Amino acid sequence: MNADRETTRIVRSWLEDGVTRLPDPILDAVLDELPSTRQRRASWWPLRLPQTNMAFTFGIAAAAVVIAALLGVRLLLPDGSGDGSPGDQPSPTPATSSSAWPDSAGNIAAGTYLSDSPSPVRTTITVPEGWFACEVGTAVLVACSDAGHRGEISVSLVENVVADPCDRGRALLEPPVGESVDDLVGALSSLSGFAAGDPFDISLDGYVGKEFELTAPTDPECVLDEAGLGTWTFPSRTLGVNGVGPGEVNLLRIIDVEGVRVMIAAAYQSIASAAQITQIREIFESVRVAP
Amino acid sequence: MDTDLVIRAQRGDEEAFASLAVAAGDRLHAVAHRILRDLDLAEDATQQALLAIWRDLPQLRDPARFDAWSYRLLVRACYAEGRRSRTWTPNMRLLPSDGPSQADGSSLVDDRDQLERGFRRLSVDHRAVVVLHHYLDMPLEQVADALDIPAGTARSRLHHAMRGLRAALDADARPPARRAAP
Repeated sequence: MNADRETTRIVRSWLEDGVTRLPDPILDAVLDELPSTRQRRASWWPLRLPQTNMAFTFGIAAAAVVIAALLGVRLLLPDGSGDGSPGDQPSPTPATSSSAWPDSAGNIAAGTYLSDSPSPVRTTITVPEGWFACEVGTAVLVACSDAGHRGEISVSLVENVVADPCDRGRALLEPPVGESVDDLVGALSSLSGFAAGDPFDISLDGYVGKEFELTAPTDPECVLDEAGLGTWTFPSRTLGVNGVGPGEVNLLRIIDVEGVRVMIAAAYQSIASAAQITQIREIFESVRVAP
Repeated sequence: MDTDLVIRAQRGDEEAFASLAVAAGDRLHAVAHRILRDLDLAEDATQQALLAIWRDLPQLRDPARFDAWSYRLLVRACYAEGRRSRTWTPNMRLLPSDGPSQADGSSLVDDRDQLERGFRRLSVDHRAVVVLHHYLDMPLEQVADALDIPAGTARSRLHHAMRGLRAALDADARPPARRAAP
């Protein structure tokens, strides 16, 4: 038996070990979320319209042309109310420069994106080339870059904070962190072993809050698993506990949007270059609360 | 997979989807666990994948391809889960054994430890190809189809991954360097 076959045999045998059954609570949690999880309608069309005749098909096409023409005329009229006189000018480029944040993880083009996350707040974010959507869900928006050292920008609602970043069981603060911005700032600043900068007041699109820097210990006392040190949790159970690596820096903006506490985080490794940090900071500052 | 169930679930039938989830949940979770090598992360990834399957099901053109398509969403969830955890590589030093190499059952344990470490060094993309091919016995063409990548890419990833795993095993088999006695 040659080395390749022997490796394959060992790998196959090794892969046989492991769980084979999904725990019922996980399945239950999925089924519980179905009513509040809207299905996305099909973005494709059947190649042929079944049970149609030529007259019907032409009718559909003609209707589409008429609708398109009407829409076109409307777009050319200022505010949609012009009278068609020679003095009328086409409206300037509409302020629709933001694209919808993708529904699935993947590459995105540079530009400004509008997202329904973190629900119920809508946000916009502007990313340069090379960044991608790396998290999908209504509870959090995350843009990532793997250029150089990894960087992430996330916008989320934070529910609670871990009692001990080193606790593998990820036990949370009890009683849970309070609902105000200051409550969360205080809890995060008190994370064992973390260094927190002085929080200062900010106003973002009219919503007030705090900004500060939180740095994970570079040489933590605990033995870390892959998820790193535990920090905070999200309202959605599926997102679990946010983990940070040793020395990871998080710039945090926590604001109150009409009673909803939103946290914008820019995460990067302490060894990131100055240029990377500058770029991450720019994206961090591009995050806005959409009307 | 019962395509009628898939079609009903595509139309928003939650009971039909529940049946699908019960039928597919175990295999998806087994694959997630083998890719992520962490029970909590695997549970989260499976949960995310099942919700993504529900959400995107109307976009599946061919209900007969449900299984392969579901693996694609699962691997995406694993990918996101791995990123969410901000995986970092602990500076784990492999200490050489002081004694002679063992030919008994403990060498199997050593193999598994080395495989575990070698596997964790692979990206989720590479792990997924290994698991789908060697755990689910999927031919590489099907792996490529499930992951929506060219067959050549699947082949290349498998080759790279297996080479890395073999190197991990070889490192364990290599006798430790011994310091010459004065």
